[in-house]
Amino acid sequence: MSDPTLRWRGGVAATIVLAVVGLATSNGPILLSAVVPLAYVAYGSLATAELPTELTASRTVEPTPAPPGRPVAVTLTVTNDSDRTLSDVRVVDGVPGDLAVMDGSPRVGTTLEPGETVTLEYTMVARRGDHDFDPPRVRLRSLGAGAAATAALPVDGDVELVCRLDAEAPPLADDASNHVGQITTDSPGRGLEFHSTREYRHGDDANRIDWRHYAKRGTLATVNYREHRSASIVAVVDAREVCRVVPGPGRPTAVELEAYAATHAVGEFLRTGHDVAVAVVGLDGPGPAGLHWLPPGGGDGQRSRALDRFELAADAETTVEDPEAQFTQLLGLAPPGAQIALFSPLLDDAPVDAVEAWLAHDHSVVVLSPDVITGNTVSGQYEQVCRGTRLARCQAAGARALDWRRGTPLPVALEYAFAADAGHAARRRADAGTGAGTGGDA
Amino acid sequence: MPLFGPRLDRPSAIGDEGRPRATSLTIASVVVFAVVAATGWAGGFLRLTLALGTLVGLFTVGLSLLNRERFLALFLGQLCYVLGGTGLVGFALLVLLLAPAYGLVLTGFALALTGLATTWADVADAESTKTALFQGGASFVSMLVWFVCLIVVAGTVLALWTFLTGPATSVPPTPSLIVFLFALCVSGVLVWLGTRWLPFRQLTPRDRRPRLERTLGRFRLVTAVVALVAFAGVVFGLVAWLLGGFDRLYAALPPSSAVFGGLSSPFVLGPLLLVGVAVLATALVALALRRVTRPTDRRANQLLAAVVAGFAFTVLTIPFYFSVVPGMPLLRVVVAVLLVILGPPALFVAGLAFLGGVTVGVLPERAGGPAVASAGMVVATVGAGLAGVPPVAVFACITAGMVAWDVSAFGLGVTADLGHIPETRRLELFHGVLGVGVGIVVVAVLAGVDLLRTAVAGGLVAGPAILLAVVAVLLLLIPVRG
Repeated sequence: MSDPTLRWRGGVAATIVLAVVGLATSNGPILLSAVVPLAYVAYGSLATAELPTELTASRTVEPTPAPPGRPVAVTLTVTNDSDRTLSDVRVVDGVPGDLAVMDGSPRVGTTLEPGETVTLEYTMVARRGDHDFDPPRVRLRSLGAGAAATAALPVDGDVELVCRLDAEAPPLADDASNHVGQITTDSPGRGLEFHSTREYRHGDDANRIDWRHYAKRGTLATVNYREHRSASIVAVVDAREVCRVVPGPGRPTAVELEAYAATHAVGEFLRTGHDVAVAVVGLDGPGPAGLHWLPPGGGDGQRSRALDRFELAADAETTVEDPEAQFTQLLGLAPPGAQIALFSPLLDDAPVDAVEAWLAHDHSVVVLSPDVITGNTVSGQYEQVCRGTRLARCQAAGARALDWRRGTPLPVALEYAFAADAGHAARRRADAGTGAGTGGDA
Repeated sequence: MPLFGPRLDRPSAIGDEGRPRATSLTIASVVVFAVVAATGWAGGFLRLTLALGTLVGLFTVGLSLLNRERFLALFLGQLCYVLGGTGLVGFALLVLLLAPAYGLVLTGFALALTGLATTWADVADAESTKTALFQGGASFVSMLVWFVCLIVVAGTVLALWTFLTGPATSVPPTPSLIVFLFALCVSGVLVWLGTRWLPFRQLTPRDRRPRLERTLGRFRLVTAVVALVAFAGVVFGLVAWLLGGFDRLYAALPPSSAVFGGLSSPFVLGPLLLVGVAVLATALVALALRRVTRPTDRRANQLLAAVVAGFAFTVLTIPFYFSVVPGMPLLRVVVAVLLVILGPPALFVAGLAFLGGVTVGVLPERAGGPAVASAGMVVATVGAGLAGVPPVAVFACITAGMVAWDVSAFGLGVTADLGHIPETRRLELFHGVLGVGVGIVVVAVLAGVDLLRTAVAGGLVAGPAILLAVVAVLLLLIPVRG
């Protein structure tokens, strides 16, 4: 389909003016010059634009599936497989409406010789969900740009961007003995680190028998190691209305980032044998005080159920009237001595008050706070200062608070927040046992 | 993208949609400038043509700066806009009056260059023109007011000076009293105005402000009463002087004559007037500083810049135009005065014509600059034909106009379709080279036809043949346009 453009009306007017003036003044050069705009009008109008069927397109999206907040590279290649040169080809890729282009451009304009390829490269930031690309729109103009034909181009390759909370998370069956959340206790038992020896009892494993002791004294003795115990961990996702903010258009909300971090953290906890409970604060759920509550448990099924809660938190739009009561209610739900991992952007004082209350009830608390505040406005800088103060309050109260800045890979943030907390939690238990006070890591 | 130096346009985060892309605009600019210079050289008026460039540059810089917010930019914009624009309009009108054909050529060139320059600066649109017209009008009114004020002040100072330093050293008592009362009235008004604008309130601690405001109110009331009483005294004194009332007073009270005579002494009048002038001058400086340091109040800055520029125009424009206009001194003075008085209104009318063109749809809103440039080259083509410039130059003029419109409209379309981020230089160069190539071929063919016409028909133009050609041209448009 070739549509004529109307950009030569001025040329028509110039032709008429020059012809009339040339006639009125009997001036040959002026009259002849009327041919010039006429020639341009003809040059712009005579050619037509027809889209060749041999124009092909291919798109790649890397990586897909991607976690929220992850930059995703999109590459669209358009190839002219016809045998004629296309003098003016303009291509606009059909970017999903919910996503924003952060770098590069999904548009290009060029000439294409036979067999030539043009490539568009741009970057988007993933948001949770399945985002379908529209087919790229191609506009072809005639030689003088006097006519245009526009059509949607069929595309090969990726046609959607899938963004999942559990993208890039390792499977639960993977063994990793030195991972986060593992607590080494002073109790003797199975383990790796030597603790003591005791008299052999019937049924002890043969690999725990101290053979040197037997060689020296002729009696059997069993080696005790420092026992590795699993802990109960409560993952709390702050999904209140105040947290549903984005640092820019097309970016994931703070709740999406929290859910992403919580998904990975819970996976790590479960892999290392901990019991994990999940609480979503800020939504009207079926649990106590309206919480979405998943009781402590382990295994693959627990991870699946936790993921459901996190997806619910990321997608929900309704809120509860009194979310602060839900924070308080957690004190009654969390098992005694359980660690609490709070995921919150700390945009108000309610989570900080909750952290102080949990710590006062002898729960070890880790706060992972995604940074969604931009500092390019005065109000944004003010909010940054307030958030920094809240992080400092959490640390001063005895929690381990980590500022997860944009651009920092999640595994690094998790490693820093939870691996180091294993020893921290053990110290808290030891301190609690001896009646000593606790202090937070700076 | 600027060619060089600081950019005059104000690109936003989403791009400046009102301007064609840089590559297209560069092609249009190069072609138009080359043709303008070549035609000027072929027609023997190259220096005049190049002189247009200075005025166009001044005008464009002024138009761009008048769309800023800061006082200094607005003030400099006023100077450049009024001086450049008035010079441009005056230059075109003058040449049109003296030599209409060459006037058409130069007017067309001025339009073309202005269209392209303002397109580069992204101010060839209705909104920027409205802003410039408002400020240009304000500075013109301000200039007239300053002119009247300066004449009144100069006359008053001259009269006082003559009166005080005249040959009669002993001033009669009655005129002396009236002059004193007049000076008292003027000083009172100046102090009353000055205390309105002096920053007493801002410099006073917050807790003392109510008391200060009460005191200041009483003081201003006193100065107003003094000024009014002094004015009434002047009127009463003049009436009494005419009716001879003072003679009876001097007869009844002889010392009053000596007292009144001493009131016009420079030792009395000097300090009295000095107080009023000093208070008002300080207040005006404070007011100007407050305005200048308030960058967000754009309208106030525009008015202040217009007032200050009006004063500068009053003092500087006539000497400036006198210095740049060639010719006999008397002619230079006349032209300078005419430019000062008639130039800004003519510039205003030209701006209104642009706005009218945009409003009725003759000029496209987003492509006003390229349209003006192209129309200017059409006008220049007519002028060049009438002026007897070599036919190739005539054909080149209209070709440049068409190329300017073609590539500019193309560049605008690319921006509208793709935005500013994608690299489209290859696409634009391809179209630009194609457009210029078509122009070169057409000019070559027309030059051959013209050569044939002059060789065969000896340069004569047959009326019926022309009529036939025109009808053929118009008929050709029907199938071509569909």
